[in-house]
Amino acid sequence: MNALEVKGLTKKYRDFTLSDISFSLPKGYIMGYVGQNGAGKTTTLCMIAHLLKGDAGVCSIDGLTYEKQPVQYREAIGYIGDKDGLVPDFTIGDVCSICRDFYPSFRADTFRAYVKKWKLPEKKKIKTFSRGMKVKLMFAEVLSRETKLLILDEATNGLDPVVRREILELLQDYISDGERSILFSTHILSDLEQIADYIFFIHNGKKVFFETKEELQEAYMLVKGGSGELRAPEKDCLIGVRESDVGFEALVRTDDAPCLPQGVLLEKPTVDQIVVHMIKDMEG
Amino acid sequence: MRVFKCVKTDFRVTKNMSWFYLLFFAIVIAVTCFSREDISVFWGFMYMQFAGLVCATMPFFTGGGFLANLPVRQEERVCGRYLYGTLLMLLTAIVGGITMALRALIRGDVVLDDSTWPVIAVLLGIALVFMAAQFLIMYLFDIKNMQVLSLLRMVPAFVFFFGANGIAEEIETGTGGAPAVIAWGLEHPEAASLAVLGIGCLAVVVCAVISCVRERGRY
Repeated sequence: MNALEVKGLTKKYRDFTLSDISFSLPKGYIMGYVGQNGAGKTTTLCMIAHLLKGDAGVCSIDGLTYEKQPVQYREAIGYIGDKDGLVPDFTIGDVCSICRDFYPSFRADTFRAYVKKWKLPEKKKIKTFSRGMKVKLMFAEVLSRETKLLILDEATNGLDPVVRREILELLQDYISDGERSILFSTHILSDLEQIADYIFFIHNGKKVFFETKEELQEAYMLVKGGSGELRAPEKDCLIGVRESDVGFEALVRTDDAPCLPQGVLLEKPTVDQIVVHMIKDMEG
Repeated sequence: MRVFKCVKTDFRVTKNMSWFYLLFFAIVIAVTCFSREDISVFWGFMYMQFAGLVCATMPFFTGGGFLANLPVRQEERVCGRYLYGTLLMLLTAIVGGITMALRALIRGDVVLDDSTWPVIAVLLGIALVFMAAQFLIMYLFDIKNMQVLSLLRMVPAFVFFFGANGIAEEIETGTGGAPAVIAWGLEHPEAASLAVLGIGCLAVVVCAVISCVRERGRY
């Protein structure tokens, strides 16, 4: 059984449509969900977390569906959004009390241990916390109970590199038992470079690709060369060409690489480079 | 059980308003017990119900990922919200009653007698109708605009206060210009109080059911 099964998720707004998003995430893996602002990432994640009702499609988490088991479905999810979603006048004690009330698997001692480890102020109101402190508090909450799926919607945005590294280590630790998975939406593609196993790229509400990170990086190569090195026929096999006075940079399918002239430089692309060039290509 | 946990959570969300309640209570005590103006016996009660109506909608202003993600059915969340509102109105009614008793003790010119309780029941019933209507509008229209939300929070409370003030004046001074329904109520206080309180409770239940249906469809 997969950690997450998504089939045909669709949501229509006046100016935007999320169309037929489908994928499966096996247990013990991390999936990066990437796309530009307004591509439909948050809409997808909110529909999976059932914070938003879709027009079509079904989701299941470890075999649970919201329609049949709404309480267990929500218990299985640890959701952290880019807006902290915490009540500003709450203290850490309030968060702990509410979690104890609603989540049977919540362990207050584990929560307090995280709070102590990260030196979060227990008596102060959450509205006085920095962005990093709020994110740590939300992680303390989700990691102190049993979940099957972590949904992170740009949760590491605005964090300093030290905190972000700490969080990424926590995420790798989270999946290490092979039973839990993470769905991670972020603009910081270097984070996905480090930890993601799968990459789902969404653009204008539609799936562009869904592959393992290794397959993706093997399927494409980054091409660099001087301004005059390319002829028109060769340009046809390039994806998202970026030209400047000193040269060009583009993506090419590995299978099409032999068509290119000898002098160009070919290297393995990062996820960031693949996504950027694809966006440029789609937008003409 | 989760319904009661939702009630507890709503009270926790609004606990920072406790200073507001205390301030209201202090003002009401000061005005009703020590003012030289000849104000209605029921003024303290109506003022506390006004505070209750303003504060009952507080949880609608504090949405957010953490609370929205709690493992609760939508129906339980809605029922918990209406139960919270009803309990809050009952609490403010009890405090309002205490202000009336304090006034009777301190000024010695008012005696809480058998004619007082039907009026209190009528005022509470009307407040429950207003509370239920506020909540129903919040659920039906899923209002996000803060200015509209603020209007929805304050306008019913003021309408209740000034309307209830008019009713209380009519009861105490009997100008004879009251609408027929109020005149009937004055002649049959027990029946009127039971009827209005019953309508208030029914309004809460009906609005809660409609809100549950609406929220189920939304999620």
